Amino acid sequence: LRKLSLGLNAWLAIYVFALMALLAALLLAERVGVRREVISWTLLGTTIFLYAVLGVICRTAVPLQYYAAGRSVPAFYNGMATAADWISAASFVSLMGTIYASGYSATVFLMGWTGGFCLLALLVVPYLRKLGEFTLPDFLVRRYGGQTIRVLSALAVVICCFIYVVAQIFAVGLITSRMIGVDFQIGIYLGLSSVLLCSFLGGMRAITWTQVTQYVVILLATLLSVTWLSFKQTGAPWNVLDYREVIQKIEQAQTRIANDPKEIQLPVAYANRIAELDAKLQNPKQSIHEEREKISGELRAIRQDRTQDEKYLQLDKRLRLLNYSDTAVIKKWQSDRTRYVQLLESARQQEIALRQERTSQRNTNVYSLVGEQVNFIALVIILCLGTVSMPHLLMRFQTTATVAQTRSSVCWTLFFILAIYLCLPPLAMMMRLEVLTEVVGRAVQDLPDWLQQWSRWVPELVSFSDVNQDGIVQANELYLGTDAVMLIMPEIAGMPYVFSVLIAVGGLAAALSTADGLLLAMTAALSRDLMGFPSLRGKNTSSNGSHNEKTIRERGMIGSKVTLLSAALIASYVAAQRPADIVTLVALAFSLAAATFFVPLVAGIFWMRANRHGAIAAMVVGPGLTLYYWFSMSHLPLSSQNAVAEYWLGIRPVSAGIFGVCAAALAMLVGTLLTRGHSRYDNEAVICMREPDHLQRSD
Amino acid sequence: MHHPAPQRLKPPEQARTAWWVFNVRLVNVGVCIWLLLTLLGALAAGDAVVSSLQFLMSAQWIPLLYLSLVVAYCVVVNSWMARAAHQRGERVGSQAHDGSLNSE
Repeated sequence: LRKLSLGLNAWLAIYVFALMALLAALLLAERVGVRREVISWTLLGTTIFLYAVLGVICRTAVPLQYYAAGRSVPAFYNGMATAADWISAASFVSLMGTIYASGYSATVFLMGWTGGFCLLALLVVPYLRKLGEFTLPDFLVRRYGGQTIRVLSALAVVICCFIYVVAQIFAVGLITSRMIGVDFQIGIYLGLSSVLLCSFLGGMRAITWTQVTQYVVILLATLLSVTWLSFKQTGAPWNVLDYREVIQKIEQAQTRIANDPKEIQLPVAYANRIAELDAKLQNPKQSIHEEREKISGELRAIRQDRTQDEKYLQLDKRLRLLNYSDTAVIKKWQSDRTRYVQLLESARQQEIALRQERTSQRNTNVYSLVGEQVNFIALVIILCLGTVSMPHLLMRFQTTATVAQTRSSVCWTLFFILAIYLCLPPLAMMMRLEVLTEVVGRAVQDLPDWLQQWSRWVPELVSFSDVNQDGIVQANELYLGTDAVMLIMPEIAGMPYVFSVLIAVGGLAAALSTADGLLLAMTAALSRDLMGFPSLRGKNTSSNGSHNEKTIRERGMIGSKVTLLSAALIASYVAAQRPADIVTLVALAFSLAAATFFVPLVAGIFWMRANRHGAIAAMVVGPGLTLYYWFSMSHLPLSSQNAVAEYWLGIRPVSAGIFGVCAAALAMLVGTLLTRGHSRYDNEAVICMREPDHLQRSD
Repeated sequence: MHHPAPQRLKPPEQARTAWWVFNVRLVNVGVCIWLLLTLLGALAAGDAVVSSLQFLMSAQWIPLLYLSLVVAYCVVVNSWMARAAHQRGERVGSQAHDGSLNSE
């Protein structure tokens, strides 16, 4: 292994240098005028080709290799692969945008997604590795016994992973379609083929090494962008670590905006526009007819007036649209309404943000501050517990050779994740400063190209409307969706085009690496736990088995691969329907995972008496309550007073899992105490987990 | 003069209990530190934009403390395991590469 590890280090160094050399060559090519399409295809093609080559080289039909990479991955590389597995599209594409939009309160995701690794190292991973069960359902069945546990846990794994994988494939579609200029749906299926290239043939073995290469791409994309921006705005690339100067400038700009009468009036203007459109959409045919009449009258009135030619042309254009088709007019009104709602929400957020800043400075509105803190704590805790319970992550820690290496690999994972996460807040703040100083205050005629292109391409993510028609861009007239900020960042900051492609390739790597891990976890649950294909453990794993065993094993592997393909296709179909934004889907997956698995997992390890009845009760009550809270509350608008009054303890639906976890703990306690003590499964599994090998019983 | 016999390894049952008690204590301390860090991060929540002073104690840096906690826990446990295995004349990870499932 040591020799192999040295070899791996050399390969990693060669790969990093080759990638940097390629980026330098592309930068040079851009300078000498090579077409943008060539640059994007070269970088995208090279990385996808590399993933595909690794996927094919690592192909396997041996279950231990397919599901656990032969349990021979060194801790350092497992940490790197797990970090890539962890850094999903939500982390790479959306997190920076969330920090950009919400500022400090978005650091809840940084804390939640890293704090979970403390609990993972302390409470779960070493024990799971010690027991040697590969998947979460396997562990729960070994600990508690019974088919009910197997079916319940496998279903929960499939649901959590499915929601999460839909978010990843959604991001893949977004990036691919933007990069190569194809339709969103086609982008999704192109991205899907890349996912399958990595995972279909080689399972965990192929995924491990593609994730290592994907992590390097993600790291380079983040580090190069943040140092470039830091150099541009502060004159020193190392100011990434201390960007107080940037924050001070943002505070000045925000104060200016807060006191600008035009900015203050905008939310009222949006509310009026929305009310007008609502009235029109209630009886669209009648409204279209009335509008036609009105515009025709105005046109007749100014037809002879040569001084009003421009207004005449505008009215004529509107009339032609009204005459073209009623459906097109209704669609336009609906899209206008969506845009105004986005802008109003964004303006309200700005307003809330500024009000909160003043509140905390004067310390007058204690209730609002406490409410924010309760929500902050609830979300951190649920993200941490969700991290501990995510099935695809737990599978990754089964690939190391020993328990000690598993512990070390958690440290490496957290280190590699932090290398990315600590760059995101400065990147978001620098981006905010760039928008507030370079875009806000510009004349509408000089709108930057990126704003015009992106608002045409994805109006639901980027939009601008000169509502007060003063010809100047106001902060509240501009909407940048959280899923778009990272991808547009190089264009906003005026970076070379290579950076735009690098960020897109990084986002693609993040989404692909997570999607691969999730698909494998889902496949394992579907094919092995629900459909009953041969198990990883036992005689089937032996390479010296009889002909019959080998045939069964091969059939099982074919079944697993077909399941993986089917799961990927269904997830792509759902993602193509654009179900919700990425962060919302991820939050739901985390809440569900935490509410379903956290209590049975931890009680199974640390509470000897915990039994099957308690576990089943926890796995039914926890997710049930979470789903109830999520669906009954998520339709309420976040900023309304009614919504805050409706929420339980003021906690928003994004942290729904917190109620689920509490209910699951209670159900586990009651279920266990009211029923008979532990079975023989419990003793055997718990003793095996709690004993190091050198203390193993001789009997 | 009578010297006490050199201390031998504890009987397996006692050693098992000692290891589990040691482990649980570490876990308890670790979870308490985790909770403290999380609450510290949440104390400053509610401010949309970080002011210069808040930046110094901002939640952005708490993940680094989380990392220190995980590293410390792993170093302590792994060295305890290595020492215990050494006392028995074993080398940690000696059976690691045969794909066996329960090697420590």
